[in-house]
Amino acid sequence: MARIVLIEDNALNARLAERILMRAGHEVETLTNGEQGYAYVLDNPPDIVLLDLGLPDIDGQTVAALIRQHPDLYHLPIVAFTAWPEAMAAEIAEAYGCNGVINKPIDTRRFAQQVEGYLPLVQL
Amino acid sequence: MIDVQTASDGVLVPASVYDYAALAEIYNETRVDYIVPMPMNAARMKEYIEVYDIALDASFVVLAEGRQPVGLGMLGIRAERAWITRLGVLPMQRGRRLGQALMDAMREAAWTRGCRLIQLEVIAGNDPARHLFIANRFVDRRDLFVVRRPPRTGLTTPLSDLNLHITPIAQDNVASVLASRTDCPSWIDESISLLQSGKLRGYEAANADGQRSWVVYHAGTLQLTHFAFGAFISDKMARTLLFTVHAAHPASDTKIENVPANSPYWPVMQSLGYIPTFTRQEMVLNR
Repeated sequence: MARIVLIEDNALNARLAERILMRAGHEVETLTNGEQGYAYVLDNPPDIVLLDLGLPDIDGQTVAALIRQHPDLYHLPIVAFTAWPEAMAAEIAEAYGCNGVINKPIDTRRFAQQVEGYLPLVQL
Repeated sequence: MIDVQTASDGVLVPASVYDYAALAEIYNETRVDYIVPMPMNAARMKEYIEVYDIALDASFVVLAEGRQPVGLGMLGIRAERAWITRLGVLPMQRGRRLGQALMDAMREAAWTRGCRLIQLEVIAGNDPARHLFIANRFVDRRDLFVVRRPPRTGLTTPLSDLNLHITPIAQDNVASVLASRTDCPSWIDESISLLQSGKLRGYEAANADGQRSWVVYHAGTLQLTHFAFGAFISDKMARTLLFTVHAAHPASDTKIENVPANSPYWPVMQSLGYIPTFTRQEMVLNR
């Protein structure tokens, strides 16, 4: 089981992702904006962060930058969770230090495995 | 009394009857399937309206059956220029000419207020929107880039020209420095947008020949935005100015909207770690 923080402002996307990940045995905490999401991660470092790049306050890139610059969170896996065009999302995510990208809409059959692929080995 | 206009298949009401949170919600719902959704909350919507002179009484929400908001279009106005922005219709409501109704209402509002020019931007690849604007006789003007620069990137090359003298611009002088601009910025980065965004900082550069340039920018808590530049003197001077900015804010993320594709500063920005996120096409309609 992994502790996953999902930072996603779209309620439908969040519910679907939560349901799949919880069914796969993971613990999921969802935050709907960047400021709350970063604050939560800071106080409760999870095993992985799923980060929507388009958020209504601080956008996902800035949240990723904040996490990457924090000495206690530097190695925390961050996966960009976005509907942006794939090539663009991959370039931006890499530039901001994300470990990878999962594109929306998600493939419900593969989603949990995709997320687990970014977890540190000790969690599996 | 609400000014209600009959649209082709819905009614339009001025956006001024909605609060910032409601406008943000309508806007976000119209963008759920957008190429690059950039959602807003109430605070960001308020800031957007204030910084970019959005005239809410000349902006419209379109209502469908049941009086549910299903679309939004905003009009910014400065003197004789207007810009259409935040235009969108909920995915399930498209194809009913509601976008056209919003366009008609905003164009009429702009002309009624004495505007001579309307401008807008469409993200490259949004063909339905582009076709709508072409059908409304908007013509292409130029390409604009939305660019980002993650913190702590591209600063490995040290400053090399000791003949350049860099000084911070005093707060009292920012407005007068901006008044010396000769470029043709997008409305997002016009001097008045910068001044209304506040928290401005800047640097001036002078070389041994007495040539000068400058950069002014908005230094937000987490992000640097709204960059304006003086005359382009040389790559070295431009690079030194930008290097100085980012060295002063090593932890800040940077986002600049609507950098003209032909800006001489763009190659220099790329050398300092800026990356293009997406392209917008600026289009204009003259009265």
